[in-house]
Amino acid sequence: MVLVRFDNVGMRYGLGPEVLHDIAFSLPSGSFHYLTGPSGAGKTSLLRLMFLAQQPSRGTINAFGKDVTSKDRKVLQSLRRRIGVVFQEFRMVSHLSAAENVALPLRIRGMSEPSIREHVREIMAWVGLEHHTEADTATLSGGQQQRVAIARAVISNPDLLLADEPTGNVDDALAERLLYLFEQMHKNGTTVVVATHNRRLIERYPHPVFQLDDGWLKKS
Amino acid sequence: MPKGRLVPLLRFFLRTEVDTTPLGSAFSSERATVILPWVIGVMVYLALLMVSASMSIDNTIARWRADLADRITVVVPPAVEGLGGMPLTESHNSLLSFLRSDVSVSRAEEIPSAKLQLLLEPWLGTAAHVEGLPLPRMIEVDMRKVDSVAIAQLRTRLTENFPQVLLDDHRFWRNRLLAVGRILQGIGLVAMIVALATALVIVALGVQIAMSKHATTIQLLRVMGADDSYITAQFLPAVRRASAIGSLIGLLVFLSTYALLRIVGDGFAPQGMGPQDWQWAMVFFVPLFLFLAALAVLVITIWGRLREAP
Ligand SMILES: Nc1ncnc2c1ncn2[C@@H]1O[C@H](COP(=O)(O)OP(=O)(O)O)[C@@H](O)[C@H]1O
Ligand SMILES: [Mg+2]
Repeated sequence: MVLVRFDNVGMRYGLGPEVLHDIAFSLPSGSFHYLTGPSGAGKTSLLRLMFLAQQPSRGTINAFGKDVTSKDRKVLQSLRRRIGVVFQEFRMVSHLSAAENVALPLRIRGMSEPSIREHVREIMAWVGLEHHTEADTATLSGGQQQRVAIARAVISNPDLLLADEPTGNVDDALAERLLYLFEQMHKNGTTVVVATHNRRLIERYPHPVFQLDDGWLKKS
Repeated sequence: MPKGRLVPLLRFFLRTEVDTTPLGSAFSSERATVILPWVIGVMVYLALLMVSASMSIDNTIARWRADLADRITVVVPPAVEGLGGMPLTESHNSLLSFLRSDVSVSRAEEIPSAKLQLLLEPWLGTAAHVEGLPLPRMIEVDMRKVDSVAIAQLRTRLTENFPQVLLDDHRFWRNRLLAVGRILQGIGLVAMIVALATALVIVALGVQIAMSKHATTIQLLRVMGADDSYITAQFLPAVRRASAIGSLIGLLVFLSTYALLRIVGDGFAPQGMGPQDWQWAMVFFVPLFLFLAALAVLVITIWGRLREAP
């Protein structure tokens, strides 16, 4: 089964130049892909299309069997709830604690307080931050914030997990630990796309690679 | 609205979880949100002053109308010693009976000199000074049907028989006064609307500013799949609280002002001052309206912003 499918997709920001050209690929359900390419190639832009924060300027995108270019707000909202995103710049809500940040996806779903607390405790332990739940996110190190971001992305058990350079700001040992978390999600059946420069990691955990170059996609 | 939608709608507007929402706690402690009740309070107070001024004018106009309706005055100047050479009293009686027999007149009554003196007191001083002053005699005339034609015809008939007698048509200056009153009343209502609109614009601006300030968090919530009502719920409790408190402040200060005026102005405050009877319903409706309108403005503002992107 195909989870996400791009056909002839082009994208531009506002009236600017096209930053993605003729993108066509499909993600089988349960697959794991890397997305590589130099800085400015369009990795983040492609992920933005996938997590439905952006609409393509041409072509069609199909996610979970629905045409997302239809712009039906209700449909888009329910699809977004099936996607977990780890942002390149973390996007912590600064006035909330680590645990409150992680709880956000569950709050949006209207889950009860006791269940939320239970889930948060479990997931914080999974990323190895069980002693930092009440921490102010600004006081956490880059690697710890990255793990909070991952916990927040996976807490709602998404069908599709997208991570934008999650190992960009961490040392090799931690990078490997983070990749291990994504591997676990993948083994649980989650479809995963990880944008990364890290050749070593790709060799350590081999998966198909999408190569982006100046907005053009090559599969290898 | 079908019952099936009213209940969730009510539940939405009544929800209370302020501290558990990601933006709610930040929004409700912001300076703009903290002063919002006071701004709303001042505007509700101004609106109530305006609406009660307007109602006072309305009451006064109604009283003028009742007092002056369909009434004209026939004035006999003091210099006229006897009408048509007749002795004073006799000529007067003949004027009265002439008026009473006229087809257009339903009632004609002389204003007693005592009442006349009372009316003139503010200008002329007490009765003691008026003694011996040549005062005009006045006859109040109620007409069966008052229009310019009827009055002109009566005037013609009157001057034919009693050339020195003057016929004073109240309607001219009454209409002027009514027009001035209506204009003032209109200004009061417009000022009330402006005050309420200002309060609502401030609510809308406050929400807009807060949405811009928290744009990244809102964007984050949207990417997570939050729907419009979830994001609206972030701002709802603070705005609901601010407009409820503000409306109450405005109402209470207005009621205090009214009570103060009643106490201080006891005895000589003009009748018809302030709201009367059913007008009190309006006084309570204004803050209630503002409270509900602020919630509507909140929802419209947020949904308008959110709908800019799919
Ligand atoms: N918000 C934006 N508005 C306009 N242009 C943008 C925006 N974000 C990215 N771009 C442009 O799109 C191109 C691709 O950027 P990006 O997707 O961030 O690449 P990558 O993630 O691979 O570094 C770049 O030329 C960048 O300047
Ligand atoms: Mg990027």
